[in-house]
Amino acid sequence: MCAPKNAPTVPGNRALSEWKLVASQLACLAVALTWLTAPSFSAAQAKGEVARAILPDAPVDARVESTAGFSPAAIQSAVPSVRDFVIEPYHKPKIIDREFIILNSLTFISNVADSEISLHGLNLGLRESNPILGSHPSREAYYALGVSNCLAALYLSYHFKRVSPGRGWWKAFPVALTTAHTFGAVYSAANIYGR
Amino acid sequence: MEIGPILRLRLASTICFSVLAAVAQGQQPATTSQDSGLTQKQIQRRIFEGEQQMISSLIGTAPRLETYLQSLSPQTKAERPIDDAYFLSKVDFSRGYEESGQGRRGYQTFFFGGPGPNRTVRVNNGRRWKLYPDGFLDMLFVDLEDFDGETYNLSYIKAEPFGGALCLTYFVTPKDVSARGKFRGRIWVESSTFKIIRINGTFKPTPVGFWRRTVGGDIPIYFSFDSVRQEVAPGTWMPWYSYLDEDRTWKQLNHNGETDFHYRGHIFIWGYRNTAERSGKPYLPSHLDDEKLLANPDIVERGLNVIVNKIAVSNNLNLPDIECRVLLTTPVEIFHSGHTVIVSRGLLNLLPDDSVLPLLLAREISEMTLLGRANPDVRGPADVNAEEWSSAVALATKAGYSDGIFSTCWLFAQLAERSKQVPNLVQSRFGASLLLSSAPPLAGKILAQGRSGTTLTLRGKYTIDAWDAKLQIRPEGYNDTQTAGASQLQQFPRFTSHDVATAPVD
Repeated sequence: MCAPKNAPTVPGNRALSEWKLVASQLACLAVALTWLTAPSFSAAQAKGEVARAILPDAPVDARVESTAGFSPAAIQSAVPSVRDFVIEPYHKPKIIDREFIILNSLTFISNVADSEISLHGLNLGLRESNPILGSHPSREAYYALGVSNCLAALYLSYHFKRVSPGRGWWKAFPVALTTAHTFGAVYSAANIYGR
Repeated sequence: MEIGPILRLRLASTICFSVLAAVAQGQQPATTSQDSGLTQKQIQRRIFEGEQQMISSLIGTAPRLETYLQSLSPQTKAERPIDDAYFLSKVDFSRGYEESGQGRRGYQTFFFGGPGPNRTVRVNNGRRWKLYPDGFLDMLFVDLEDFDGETYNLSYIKAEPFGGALCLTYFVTPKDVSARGKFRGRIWVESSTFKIIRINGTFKPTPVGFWRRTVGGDIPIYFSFDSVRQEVAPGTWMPWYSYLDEDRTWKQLNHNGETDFHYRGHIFIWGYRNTAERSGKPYLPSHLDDEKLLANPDIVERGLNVIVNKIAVSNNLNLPDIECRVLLTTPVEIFHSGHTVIVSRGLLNLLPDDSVLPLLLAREISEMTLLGRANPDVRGPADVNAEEWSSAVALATKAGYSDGIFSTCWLFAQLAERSKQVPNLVQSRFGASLLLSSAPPLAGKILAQGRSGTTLTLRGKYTIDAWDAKLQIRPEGYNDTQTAGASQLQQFPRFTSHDVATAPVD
């Protein structure tokens, strides 16, 4: 990402900041209320809430107490005779699937685009604003940093997709890097063509 | 007691539960049964005493405990095992916590599943998670050590039929809400003897500290379970079978589980009756009999003997006294020792249809008859196996059991295909491996042909008599909710709030 020399800093909008502060406080309050009122994560509750109708002849206190954590579905579905175990074929989920390839390809593409546009900007007299690279980095420096970042994101996304297949955290790394590089490329292009 | 996952109780639910429990305790009506003339307090005392008597009666017995657990692909209705685990042990209830000196009670002496890699199971990210077999024993009881009125509250819910008996159901909660490892759930109590016959619930987990919650590490987990007891004598109900099926997301593990998981499994306990009292003559695999791993011969064995004798007579084989016995364990195996053919309960439950068993028995007979004639060193084991199978098919066909060839090949093909998913089910424990040594030559080709509408299923058809270690057969279409009629339920005096006015003082 390259920026014009001596680019002025723009102070933030004070009214907007105050609005954001209020909004963030409300959000925090909502999150706290949700957290406090959320049911405990018991296995029985996860299967469904308790209906009072299931206990029509119970004393009132027992009914109230029994609604604290156990579901009638779990009770009614419990078959006392021995259960059958169906054994269906299991295929290990693919880690390197289409989504994985697309996201990581976008990371590399955005990296190349950012580097090349920035190099073009440097040739036109702009300077690099990334302090790690210095004000006038070479092409090798751009690609050394960019490719190593991409490889790190590739490894981390692979690792998290393998270890935590139930989560989408693996997407965070390629998405963050792609976003950063895309922003850098657009910012550089705006500076180059908006002069 | 830590075997399975559990969970963080949030602040609000803890407070609400504590308040409700306190209110419930304060408002517990002293209701009475008009038939028994007992107040609720007296009934509860009898429940506690009955359970304590039952547990103390276990001292001196040496039952066998079998746990078979599968790790399934989580968050899907499809039943796709990823891996499995197997424990078989002898339980000595007289061994206490102090005696074991291992930080756990140490009730069990393991035949299979001792310390080491056997006590892990692979989950869907390829990693192996630890299992604690002591916890599976706990899943047959409400509380093996502290089930009394000082530790637990019982709250009556309602009367309902279960397993042919009329039961009173109670909600069980620990008096000390902060106590760890205490049971929380429901029990079904037989209405005349007040003995527990079913348990459904879980144990309160050990809280996860800030470091493990934030950074990660082992998270102790408990499973919800459904445990059923068997009436071994009038009014005496002993632990028999527990089932667990736990499908949880990573969020339910303090938001810090590395992945979702799904475990299911069963636990059987049998052989309360002492070996010395068991009837029957000594058998060749006497060590299996001594270890209460062979079923006491009964109707199933008689059926197998009929098949074996029919094969022998039809083929004019000079093999007197061929006898079949059933191994009570879940792993799939069939082998012979002398003239005794041993079939595992797991194999009987896994058979796709009745036509397979005669062919498998015929193969064992052919192995007996060909023994000594075939020389594996000269001809190779594959040739010997092929000869035994061709001989088995000939023996079975002559005895009128010719229609099981395709099903048998299909079974072997399925076992071969699933062998990586359920290695502990396929792996023989006492005999030679069914897959390696004796797969029919055509099994590999059968798989390609497919068999529409059939899935490999470990059924619950053959179960175990907990007292006498006999094989039991589940009746077809068995449904416990239908066994006690509505009229029977209406005759039973229910405990309702209006009983309070007429209840005698306890």
